[in-house]
Amino acid sequence: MLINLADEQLVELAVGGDPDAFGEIVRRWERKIFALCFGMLGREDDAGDACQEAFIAAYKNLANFRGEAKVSSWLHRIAVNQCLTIKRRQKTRAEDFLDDEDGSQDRVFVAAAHLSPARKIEQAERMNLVRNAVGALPSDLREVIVMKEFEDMTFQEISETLELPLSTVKSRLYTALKQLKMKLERTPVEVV
Amino acid sequence: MVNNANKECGFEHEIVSYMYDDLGTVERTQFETHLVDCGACTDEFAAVSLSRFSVFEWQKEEFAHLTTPEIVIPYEARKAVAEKVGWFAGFSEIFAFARSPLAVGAAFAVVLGIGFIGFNLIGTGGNEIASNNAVPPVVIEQKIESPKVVDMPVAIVDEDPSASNDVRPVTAASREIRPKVARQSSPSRRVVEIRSVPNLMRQARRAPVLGDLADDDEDSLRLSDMLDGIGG
Repeated sequence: MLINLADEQLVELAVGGDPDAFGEIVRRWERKIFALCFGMLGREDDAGDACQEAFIAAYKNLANFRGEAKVSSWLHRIAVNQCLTIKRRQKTRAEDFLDDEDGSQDRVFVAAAHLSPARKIEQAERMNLVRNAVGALPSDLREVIVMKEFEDMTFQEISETLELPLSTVKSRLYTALKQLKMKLERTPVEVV
Repeated sequence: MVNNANKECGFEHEIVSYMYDDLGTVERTQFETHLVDCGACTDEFAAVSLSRFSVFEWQKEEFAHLTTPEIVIPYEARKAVAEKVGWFAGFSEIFAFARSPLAVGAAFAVVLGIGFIGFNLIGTGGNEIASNNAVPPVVIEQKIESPKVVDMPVAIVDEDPSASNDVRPVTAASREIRPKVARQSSPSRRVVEIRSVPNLMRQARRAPVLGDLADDDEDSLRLSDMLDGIGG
């Protein structure tokens, strides 16, 4: 029932006191908000904290949503603010505790233990989709993504390896990510 | 629509740099300030972040748990093979880098040189061994009692047939006894100094003459027969 409703309708239901409506909003957007937080913070655990705080802040400010912008943009802005808050907090903490500057825990993946079988199937389908989408990219764009995400190379290293200007490398990566986004949106994963 | 709005603000190329933490402090602060105010850039950033996270998640799920293959160079196996082949194979392997005639000639020259040096060493070593084993000359002083002189007529036959045939009696005392030193024919022989040797002994030691050899079956002319004929 709630699955078929638009985001704005769900917000109205949530403002009216329907807790399941806001749950549906979270289910729809949690992955994208998490990805945004991961893009800003670079760490999964920090991204998880920022994502959770962003949805809590959205729930508290449901009454302030006036429908002038899309729900997605509203949620994005809340998430960006939460990420910046966490960054400032981390900066202050790093000044107090210099040991926190150790980046050895960067990008450590903690497997979610609460994944249901349905979520596992969904994740497997998504992996297959991403694999096909990356494989369908032009080779010059794909090699930049592989070097950056798989080999964890810096832009300077990629530039020297491919003998390309630094700006070209960044432009190719940006183009690759945008094309990947279009390919992934074309065949969306059916959320169970 | 989003892209057009994003292109107008001019921060689109900063998205990737910010996402991968490749901006300076000032540029990062400017981008964050702009991101809060610009809804288009926020949506664009979210979309690119989703693509990046999808790739990251895929890499993490399918590749991150795979261990990097450990490449081990089998030094031990190489060593074992070398030991099994033997010393000659190892020696020939030294010259295996170039099998040109020059390399072969150089190898042959080295072998010749080693052989020559070894031969010389063996030769000098033999001489040293021989000199070490040489027996020093020993002088044997024999106390020989003065011989008993027996007056005994000895006939001395002059070798010259034209000489007179008279026989002069000679006594042993009339002969001068000279000490004789045995010749040293080789370093290993002992040098024996003979002070005096009795005449009888010398006579006994004298070399056999032709007449001493009795041969009954021999009918040929003998020197003794001739002498007898001359004397008779």
